[in-house]
Amino acid sequence: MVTDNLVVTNADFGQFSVVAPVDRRLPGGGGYPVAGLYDVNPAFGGQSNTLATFADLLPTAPLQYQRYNGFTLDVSARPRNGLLFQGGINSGKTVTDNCAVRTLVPEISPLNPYCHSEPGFLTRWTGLMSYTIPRVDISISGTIRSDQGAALQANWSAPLSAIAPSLGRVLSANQQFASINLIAPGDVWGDRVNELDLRVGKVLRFGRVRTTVGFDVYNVLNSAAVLTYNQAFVPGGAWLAPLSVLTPRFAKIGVQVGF
Amino acid sequence: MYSHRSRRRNASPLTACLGAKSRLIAATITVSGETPVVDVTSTKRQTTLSSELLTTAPTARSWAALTAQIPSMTTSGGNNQDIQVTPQMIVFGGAGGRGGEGRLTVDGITIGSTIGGGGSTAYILDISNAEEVVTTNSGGLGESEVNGPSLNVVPRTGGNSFKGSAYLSGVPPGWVGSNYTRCTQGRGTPHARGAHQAMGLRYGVRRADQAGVDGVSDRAIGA
Repeated sequence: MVTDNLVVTNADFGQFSVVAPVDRRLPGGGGYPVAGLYDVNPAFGGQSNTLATFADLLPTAPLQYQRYNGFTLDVSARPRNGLLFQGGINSGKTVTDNCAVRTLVPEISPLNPYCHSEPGFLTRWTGLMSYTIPRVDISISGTIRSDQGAALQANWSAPLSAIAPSLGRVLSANQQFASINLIAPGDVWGDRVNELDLRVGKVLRFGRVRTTVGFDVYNVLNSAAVLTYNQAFVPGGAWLAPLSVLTPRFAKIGVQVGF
Repeated sequence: MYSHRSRRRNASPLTACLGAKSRLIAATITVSGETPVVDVTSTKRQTTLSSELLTTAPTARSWAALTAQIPSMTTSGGNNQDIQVTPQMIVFGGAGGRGGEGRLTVDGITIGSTIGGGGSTAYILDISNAEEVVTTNSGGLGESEVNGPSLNVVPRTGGNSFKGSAYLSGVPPGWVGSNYTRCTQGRGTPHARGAHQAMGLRYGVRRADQAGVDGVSDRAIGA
């Protein structure tokens, strides 16, 4: 779907580029150009008459696509009585492209130049195991997973002084800043999240009543993988400072009574 | 009138000699084999998690925690990847697809929001009392709005008997560690990650062939 602002055409947009600030945390230390940015002509600033339509109904029917190539391997096994294993791996890459649409309808994302996204292969694997020791009715189980971290951004509030030389005018609607992501999707990734959880349980039977007492330990490895980051980029500032990390190792006791 | 009887009466006997010679008859029968039009392959991929597994695995006993155990399911990054101390809602999808197209169903009936409106639900199902949970990773047909992924909770059915369960869990304060290490500090983590002290009570009573009463009371103390 494309939301087309019928008030404007692509000829009503000015194109500009900015130079990323020099910062050693940026790819290549920064100082590179970020091109393909748009700003609507000030005469049309704030005007809209939108039409939500399909891309192939636009003039020239521009191509946009999302393609996924990958594989999944799932294994489910009961190699012996009481032992169960389930797990697998998924790896693949998603390529998206809406550059042709954006060229025709820049208003869909004027400040996001990464219309062709190819972040590479993302791999995720999980495992789950359970074993009940016969006769004593004690179950031992565990789960493990390894998740790809999130693709990160460097959202820089580019000042007018960095934009005007390229744009040749001020921004529409008298804006003094434009928020521009300085890194392409997949250039910088968050921490991989690895988590191992274990559980030991004992089944007690009293006639029809079945009671299970379990002792769980979560995040056995006490991983401190960062989950969310400060993605607002300020040169020399707190860009990518962790905002939240994985819950630390903790234990839990639980009782389930069933009849 | 000419009749059948008069015709028989006037007929003269007829004697005929017939000679028959036996001869070997040879015939060629060609049997050709052709693959029947039966599609023995399918893109449908399902994973079944049994009730035994659901109760023994160290998870928050919620459908959302299960999605973390299916390799081809994805959740949006960030806090969704955290450990589920208590059941929470997450939005899930399949690898390569839209992030929020995962569907949650109970015995085949969708209970989630519309696609684009969340996809999943804040409803906390008592999966530990389910018969099984079936996840369809891909290749689903008309049973759901998407061909995958979907997570179907199959409730228990059976005879005329009462079933019930109660689950109580807790995390005492001293059982929580810390991962606010020097390394974490050096990365600029603004404060020590507080301890989660969680308590939860879930109960369910039902006659096996009828709908029952379920309840969940989970809360996390601290942040």
